[in-house]
Amino acid sequence: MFLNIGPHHPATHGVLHLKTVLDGEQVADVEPDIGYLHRCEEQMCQNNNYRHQIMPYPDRWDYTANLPNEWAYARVAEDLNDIEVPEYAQILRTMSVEFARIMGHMLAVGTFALDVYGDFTATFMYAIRDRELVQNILEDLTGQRMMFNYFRLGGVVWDLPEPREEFFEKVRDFIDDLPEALEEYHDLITTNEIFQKRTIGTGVIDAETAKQYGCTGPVARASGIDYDLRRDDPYGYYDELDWDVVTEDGCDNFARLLVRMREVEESAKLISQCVDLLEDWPEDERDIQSNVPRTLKPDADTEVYRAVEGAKGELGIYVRSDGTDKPARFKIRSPCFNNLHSLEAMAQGEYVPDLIAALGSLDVILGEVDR
Amino acid sequence: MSDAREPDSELEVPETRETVDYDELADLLGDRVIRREDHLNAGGFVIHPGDVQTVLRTLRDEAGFDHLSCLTAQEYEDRYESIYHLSKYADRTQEVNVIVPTDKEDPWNESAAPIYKTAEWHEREASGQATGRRAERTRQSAHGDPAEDGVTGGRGLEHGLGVPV
Repeated sequence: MFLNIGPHHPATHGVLHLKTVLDGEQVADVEPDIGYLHRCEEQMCQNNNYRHQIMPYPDRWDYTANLPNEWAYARVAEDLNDIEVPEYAQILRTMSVEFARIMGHMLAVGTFALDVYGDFTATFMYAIRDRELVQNILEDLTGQRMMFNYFRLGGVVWDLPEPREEFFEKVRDFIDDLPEALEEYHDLITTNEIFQKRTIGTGVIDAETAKQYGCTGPVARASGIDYDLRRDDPYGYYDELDWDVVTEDGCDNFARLLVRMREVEESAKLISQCVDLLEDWPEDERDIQSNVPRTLKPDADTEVYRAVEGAKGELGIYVRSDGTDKPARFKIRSPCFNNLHSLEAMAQGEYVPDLIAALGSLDVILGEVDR
Repeated sequence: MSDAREPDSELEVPETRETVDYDELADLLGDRVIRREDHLNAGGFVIHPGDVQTVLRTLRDEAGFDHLSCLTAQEYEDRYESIYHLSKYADRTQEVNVIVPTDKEDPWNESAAPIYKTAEWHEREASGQATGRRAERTRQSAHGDPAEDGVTGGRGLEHGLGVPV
C-alpha cells in the first residue's frame, strides 16, 4: 500500500513528505520528498558581501541550535580571508555555541518523546523549560532569543553583559541544576519501560551503513562512530578544554537519544570551563574582535571547504571567490540532509510507528535539509 | 602515506593540512589525473567525467577516504563542475577534492553512488543546482538512476536553484 506521511504532520518536524510503501504493516520502502522549506539560502549568501551581510543567514539554517551555523560561516570566511580571532573571543564563541547545542538537544529530546511515547506533553514541557533557561542566558549575552547573529568575522559582536558577576552566577546556577534536571529526564524517559519498548532495537543502522550515508553527529556517534569535528578537526578553544566525545554502540533510536542527553552533560562541562576562564581573564586583554578590513575581497578563484560540528553533525561550507566582495559560489553541506537520507536504511522492514520513531531520532531540521 | 595520527602531539598545528601526501595519491591515480588543483583546505585532482567511479573507488579502498563529506556543483562560463569533497572518518584533517569538469552542451558525469551511497542525494541536488536545467545527469548509477528520477519525476529532490524545463 502506498501511504503519504506528511507533508503536514507534527511528526515530520517541519514540512516533510514521506512517500511510504507498505507491505502488510511493514515498511517496504520510504522516500523522503524534501524541498518544502527551500529558501534559497545559498543564493542569498552569494548575493551578499562577506564582511557583514552573510552572517545573519546561518541562524536560519538549523534554527533550533543556531550558533554553530554561524561558526561554520565564520570559519570558512576567516580561513579564506586570513583573519585571526583573539583567544578571548574564541572562548566566548565556544561557550555560546555549547549553549546552543544544549538548546538543540533539549528540543530534540522533547519532540522525540512527543513522537514516540504516550506521556502527553510532560517530557516536552520539561525540555522546553530547560531550553528557555538557555535562551534566557543567550538573550543576556546576545540580545536575541533565537536569531542570535552573535558572531562577527574576527570575533563576536558583544562582550559579556555587565555586571559580569551576575551573568556568571546565572550560568553557574543553570549548570549546577542541570544534573538534577537530566536525572528527571532519565526518570521520565530512558528508564521507562514503554519508552524502551518503542526505541530499543528499532531504527537500527550499523556503523558501516551510516558511513555510506555520510551520517555524522549524534546519529553517527550512536552507531559507534567516534567522530566529532570539535576534536578531530579542532577549531575555537575545544582542544584546550577537557571533555569527551560521546559514543554509544546501540545503533538504534534509544542510542541516539542517549547520545544527545550525554552530550548535554559534555556541553555543560565545556561551558563551566569557559566561564572559569572568562572570569579570570585580565580586563585589558578582553579583545572580542580582531582588526578586519572594512571590505573583504579574497583573490579570485580561491576555493575552500571547511566544516564545523553543528548540533546535528558536520556542517560544511564551500566558497569560491571571484575577486569581488561576494562569493561566486556558496555551498552548504547540511548534516541533516545526509542523516535524513539514512532513514530508508533504518525504516526498512519496520512498522509505521517505528518509522516515525526513527525519523524523530534523526532530529532533522527541515530548514537545514532544504536550505 | 603518513596516516598515523598523533592525538597527543601538541605541536601539531591544525591549520597546516600536510598530512596527506598528494604526490603519492597522484601516483595511485596515474594518468586518470588530468591536472592538479590546490584549494585552501586540500589538494585536488581534476578528472574525466567518465572516471568518477574508478577514481573514487581507488581513493576509498586504497587511500582510506571513506567519507564523502560534500558534493559541490557549480557553473563556470565555459563549463559545469562537480567537486567531491572527500575525507576520512578516522582522521577528518585528511582531505582531498576530486574535481569533475563537464561540457555545457552535454553535461554529465558518472555517478558516485556505487562508492558512496550518500552521493545519490547529493547528485540529485547537484543536477538541478549546477545547471538550472535537466542536465549534468549522472549516469551508470548502481540502483537505477537517481539523477534521472530527480529530474524527470517532477520536483522531487531537485529543489535547487533551477527549475527543470
